[in-house]
Parts: sequence; structure tokens; C-alpha cells
Amino acid sequence: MGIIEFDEKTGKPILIDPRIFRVQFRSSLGKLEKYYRALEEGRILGTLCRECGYKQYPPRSYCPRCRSKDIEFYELPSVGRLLTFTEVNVKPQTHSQYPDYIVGVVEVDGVKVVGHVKARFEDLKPDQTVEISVEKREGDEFPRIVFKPIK
Amino acid sequence: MRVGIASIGISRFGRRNDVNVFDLAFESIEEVFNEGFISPEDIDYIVFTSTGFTPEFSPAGIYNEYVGLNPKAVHRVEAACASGSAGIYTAYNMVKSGMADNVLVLGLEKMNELETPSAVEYLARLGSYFWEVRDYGITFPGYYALFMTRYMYEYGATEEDFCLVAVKNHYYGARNPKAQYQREVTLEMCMESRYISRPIKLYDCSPITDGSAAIVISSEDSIKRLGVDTPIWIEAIGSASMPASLTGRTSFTSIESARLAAGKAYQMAGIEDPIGVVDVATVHDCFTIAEVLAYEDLGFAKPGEGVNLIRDGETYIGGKIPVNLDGGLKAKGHPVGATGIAMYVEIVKQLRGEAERGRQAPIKKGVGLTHNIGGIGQYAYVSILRR
Repeated sequence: MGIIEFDEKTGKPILIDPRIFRVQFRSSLGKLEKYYRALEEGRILGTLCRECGYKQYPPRSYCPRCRSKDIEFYELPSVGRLLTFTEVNVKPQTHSQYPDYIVGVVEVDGVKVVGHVKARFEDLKPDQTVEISVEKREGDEFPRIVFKPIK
Repeated sequence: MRVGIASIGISRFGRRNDVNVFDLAFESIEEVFNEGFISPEDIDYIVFTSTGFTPEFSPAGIYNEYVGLNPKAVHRVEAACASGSAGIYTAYNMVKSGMADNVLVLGLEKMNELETPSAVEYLARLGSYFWEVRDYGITFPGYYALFMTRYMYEYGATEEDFCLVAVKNHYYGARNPKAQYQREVTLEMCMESRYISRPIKLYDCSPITDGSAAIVISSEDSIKRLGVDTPIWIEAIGSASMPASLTGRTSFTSIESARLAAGKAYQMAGIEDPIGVVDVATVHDCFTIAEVLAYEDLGFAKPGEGVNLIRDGETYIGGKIPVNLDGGLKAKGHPVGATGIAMYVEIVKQLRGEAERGRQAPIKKGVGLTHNIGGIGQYAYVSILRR
């Protein structure tokens, strides 16, 4: 059983489940440990195939082009091109504590990176040059990738 | 041997907390059997399509019991917002292979069982969670907003242009008694609505919807034996995939998997140019930008020119190619796991000539099309139906 309430829009009866199912994932990192360690130090790593030279971001432990496992991490350059962006106004539950944020996709050295854009939405234009860095958001313990327009 | 559609059913879409989730499924099943061509005994297998939104993690068996179809076998098929088409694809192949004569495909989503922030999270997690949702909080409107930003920049389209899609789809939703929003909207109402993921506004978005849809896929022999009066044949189902992640994409102005799926479907159906051949289409307008991308990916317009079709009213009845005459995902509603089936139901109604007054396309060639996308193209299906 639970609590019988009435829907705010339709007024119809609904049963509120009193049992909340809490889910927290524990993700095995495998070879990606190096990526996350570097991110904590402010560096963003991609992977490079030693066999065929194919570059990848996000990093992967094998090359999707030639299936080689001879892979090395390399640090991405710090300047890229903003391909597109959006300001997220209605947020998912796990991000509802933050003020509106801008998600962008940046092309750098032949790969694409997703991160947050630090700028006013009105001041942004696709194809503009951005600086790529890593920083922690106020109140957060974990690093994130940020893009800042270069004037 | 041809494969066709023996029967269809669809629930009323909306914020349906006047019924419980099981009765919402039953509304479609009831219509399927009330059409009078097929009985539960004739069904060989049930394919259930849903992305979840239920407290049960394996809902297929539970719904199958409720709608009275035991001991017929059932399993669930999931492909995000293209789950319905993926289920139809599965059923088509069961029938085509000879393993089954009649397969019921039942799609269901009751998204209002979750409160909105949880529903937004649930939908976002249909995308690439680890690299995009977890640290950057992208949402589904957000994913499509990235396309809208780039499309506006490359082709000079405006927010008004996309609102024209909302105006059209609400115009037809107002004429569909099963639609979630049976009211017209104006360009001003759309333009004044708040941002959800800028530049996408509230009126650019399909709603959170409760709804179900069902269809029976049958062999030609079975359709003849059952005496189906107006069979609709599945002439082609084209399918494709592409990277789910934003980092794996080469374009933000096209869904390439949709383009590939369309190419395959046209080839199977022997269609060179859909304009003048396809009488009516349903496309995956989860957001208004998605309808414009669909025009181009389906070859209704050249890249960058899809926006002209809506500016010129060419996707209304009387235009070059009428699109989403049921109101689309935008106004009819988008119960994600049921959507692909609801699209089929609509095209079957259109080709049978059973759509309500004011939203029936003139059927000249007897050809209809559905375009159903899961995620931002990680799942893509384009189907051609013929009367």
C-alpha cells in the first residue's frame, strides 16, 4: 500500500509508492583508470593506436579501425573549435541542483570532446575557437571539461 | 510471400491517470480484437515494446497475462524511441521466416508514472550516460538542441521556422480524437514559450505521454484466411545504426542512420523519388528540428532546404507530401516505446481511408511511410507500407 493522492493536473487518484529504490552504479575502470587520474590532474587524454595511428576520444583500450590493442594515451591539445552548443534549462534529476549550464561539442585534433561552455549563451557562435581545460564546479568534488571562448 | 497488417489498435494518448497502466495496454488490445478479423487464438507470439517507466524490470510477461494472451509466448524488444519499429521488424521476420502466421506487437509507455525530473533523467539515460549525461547533464531536448543550433548556423534557419512545425502538427492534433493535445497553437504561443534546452522551447518538444498501440503482423495466407477487408502490406523496412555518442558523430545537421535506412527502404520498395509516390508520411518529430532533419534525411528536400518545406506549407494536406497528419509526436504525444507502432497504426488508417475528417490525406498511389528514430540515431527504421 502507499499514500493515495490526487494528480495535480487531472485530479485523478494515484498511489504514491512509499518504497524508494535507490540505485548507485559502481563502474569498473579497467584501463580507463589512467584517464580519470589524469583528469584529476587537469589533463585530458585520448588514445592513439600505435599500429595505424588512429586517434580516439573518449579513450578506448583497442583500436576500432584495426582492432589492435597496442594503444597509448596522449594529451589532447588545449585549443579547439566549438561545433555546437545548447543551454540546458530543464535538467535531469541528478543535475537539478545546478544553475542552467551550457553543453558544447568541440572538435580538437580530429576528435570531438563534450564539455561545459563557460560563456553567456548570447555571446556564443558555432565554429568559434575555444580553450579547453579541466576544472571543478563550485560545490563539486569531481573535475569536468570546460570550454572558454578565446576572444 | 507478402507480409501485411491484419489489425490495429491504439489508446487515447495523454496524461492518462484516469486508468492504470494495465488497462492502458488493454485499450489497444481491445481495439485490435474488436476490428473483428482476428481472435486471441489466432495469435502465435507477442512482441512487447517499451523502454520501461514501470516498477517492473521485465514487464512483458506481466502485461501479457493481464491482456489475456497466456499461454502464447512473449518477449520485450527495446530500441529507445524506436522500440516500436524494432518490435515490428522482429515480428515481420518471424512471419517472413514461416515461424509464425500472426504476431501481435504491443507497445506501451506510461511516462507519467514518474514525476518530471525522474522522467527527464530516465529519458536522458537512453543516451550515452558515461560520457555525456553523468558529468555534463545533457538531456534529450539537449541532444536535439545541439542539432538545432548547428542547423540554424549553417542554413540561416530561425526559431520561428521550427515553430511552424509545431503549428502544423497541433493543427492536425486538433483533428485527432486520440491525440494528447487536441488544440491548435499559434506561432506567437510557440515563440513565447520558455526554453527547455535553448534554442529548443517548450512548444518545440513532444510531451511526456501515456499511451499504447498494437498491431497484428500476418502472412499473406493468414490475411486471406482471416478475411481482412483492406490489407495493408509492409513493402520495406530499412534499418541502420550510428554512434550514440556526440563524440562519434560527423554531422549535426543530419541523422545519417535515417538517411541509410531510407535508402534501403526505397531500394526494397523500388522508389526513386518519394515526392509524388508517398501519399502520406509519419516522421519522428520528437522535437521540431527532428521533423526538419527527417524531411532531408528522407529525401523530401535537399540538405538545408527542409526548412523551406515547412515555410511553404508543403507538408500539409494539399502540399507536396503531407507529414504527421495525426499530430505527430509533437501533438498526438510520444509514449516512447509505443511510438513506432502508433506510426504504423496511423499510416494503416490513412491508407484504409479511415482517418478523421480534416486529416485524411488523398490516397493516390496507396503508399505510406514511417520514419522512427531511437536516441539521436543509434536506432533508425524507415518503413514503406502499401495498400
